[in-house]
Amino acid sequence: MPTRPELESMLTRLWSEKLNVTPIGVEDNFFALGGDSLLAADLLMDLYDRLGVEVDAAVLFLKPTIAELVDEVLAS
Amino acid sequence: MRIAPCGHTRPPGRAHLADPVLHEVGDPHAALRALRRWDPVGWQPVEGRSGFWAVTRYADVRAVLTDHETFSSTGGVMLNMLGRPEPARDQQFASSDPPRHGLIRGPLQRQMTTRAVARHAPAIRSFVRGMLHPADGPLDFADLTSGLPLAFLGPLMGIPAADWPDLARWVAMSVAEHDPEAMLPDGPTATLERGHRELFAYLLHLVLDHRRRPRGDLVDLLASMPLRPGAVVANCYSLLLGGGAAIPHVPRAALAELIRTGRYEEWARRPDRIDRAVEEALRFTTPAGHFMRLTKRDTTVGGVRIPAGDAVVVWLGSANRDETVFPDADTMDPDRHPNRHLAFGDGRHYCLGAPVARLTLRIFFEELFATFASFEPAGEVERVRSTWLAGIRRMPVVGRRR
Repeated sequence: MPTRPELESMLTRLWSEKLNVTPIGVEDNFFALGGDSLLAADLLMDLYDRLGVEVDAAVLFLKPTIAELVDEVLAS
Repeated sequence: MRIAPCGHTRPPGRAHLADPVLHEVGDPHAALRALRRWDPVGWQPVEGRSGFWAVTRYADVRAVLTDHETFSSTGGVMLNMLGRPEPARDQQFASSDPPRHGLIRGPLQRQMTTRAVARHAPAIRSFVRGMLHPADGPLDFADLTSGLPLAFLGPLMGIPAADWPDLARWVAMSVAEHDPEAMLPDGPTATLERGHRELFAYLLHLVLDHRRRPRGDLVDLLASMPLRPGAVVANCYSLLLGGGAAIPHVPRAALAELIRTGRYEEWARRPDRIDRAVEEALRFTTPAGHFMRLTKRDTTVGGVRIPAGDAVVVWLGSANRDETVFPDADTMDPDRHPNRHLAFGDGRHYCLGAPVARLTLRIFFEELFATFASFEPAGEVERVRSTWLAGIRRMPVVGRRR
């Protein structure tokens, strides 16, 4: 399992790709940056495929920051 | 300006169809009747957003729904999307125009024909029997029927019964965000967003679960199409809302009318005419109250000029009470024929689930009529506070079994 900084940088890259926005902070809100539900689903599916872990999708949909998402990945 | 017909000397004040309270405690059918007569294609301003053209006559509603070249679905199809970008445009069958629309819908439709869904009839019947089995005496008919969508969402999408209470709440938040039973303390917009995101999160897990354990159902079919993951989930969302939101309101509103008019037993003792009775219940109740389209070019509807880029909202519940098409339109008549109602819409976006909805309603009414000898009212019927969902949220009755 990658470390927290590795996960943060991987997620930051992934968000930038999906949202076409840089820079992205770990406390930025995915939806406030222009994300929508379809993009969130794309992003989570990417994450599952890369890490092989199924994090609770509700985290990204309801607490949409990289910091929350990293907590969730590390917990699962 | 229309000349007042004899006996009607003044048009009543125009009702605001976008006001959800009208549909809950007002008289929406009186308002729609007046619009059909005085202002059948009329502009309705909406506070804080632009507005929309309200189309209320049957012929005009059909004209809009069957002309996808002029009236686009890509800007969202419900009033709560008015003035907002639709993220699922061209990704979701409900929010796409042909030819894109047909690419997603075609394969789904082949699994949803009358013949294809007939194989689910035994499972639907046993589900409905299980639902009605414990019911007796005082009960809330709205509670009793809240699980009805599961009769087919189980077989068609692999949704487990245990998940339904949460899903039903999120579906209600997504289609009736003003209703006091669905609304969160933060208000309707927050409710809509939360319901929508909860459903997306749930459906993403459902898609992943189908990946691990395919069931040959509609979720597997969508996942096998050349769609991005977000689009697979968005189409599951359409199926779930299409199937889960409206159907319980048909038996609720139909039974409320049968109780009100004392015609329950008359309907119950004629199982041979069940198909016509189901069509009439659909026409009379029309739970999906409206659909929105955006004009792609300047056009006219019912002789009224509408510029490109405007929102046009067709009111299905009004079209289905159009007195020029349905004689005695406010009477629920189980022998009505012909009955070309628009409860499932019309044109390319005609309800994908209509065959399974008809099958489920037929089975439900058969079982209801066979199980219960009578119903008495036991309290006030409360309607849903929503511009889209024309239905009933509470319906205390006393049921007597045969």
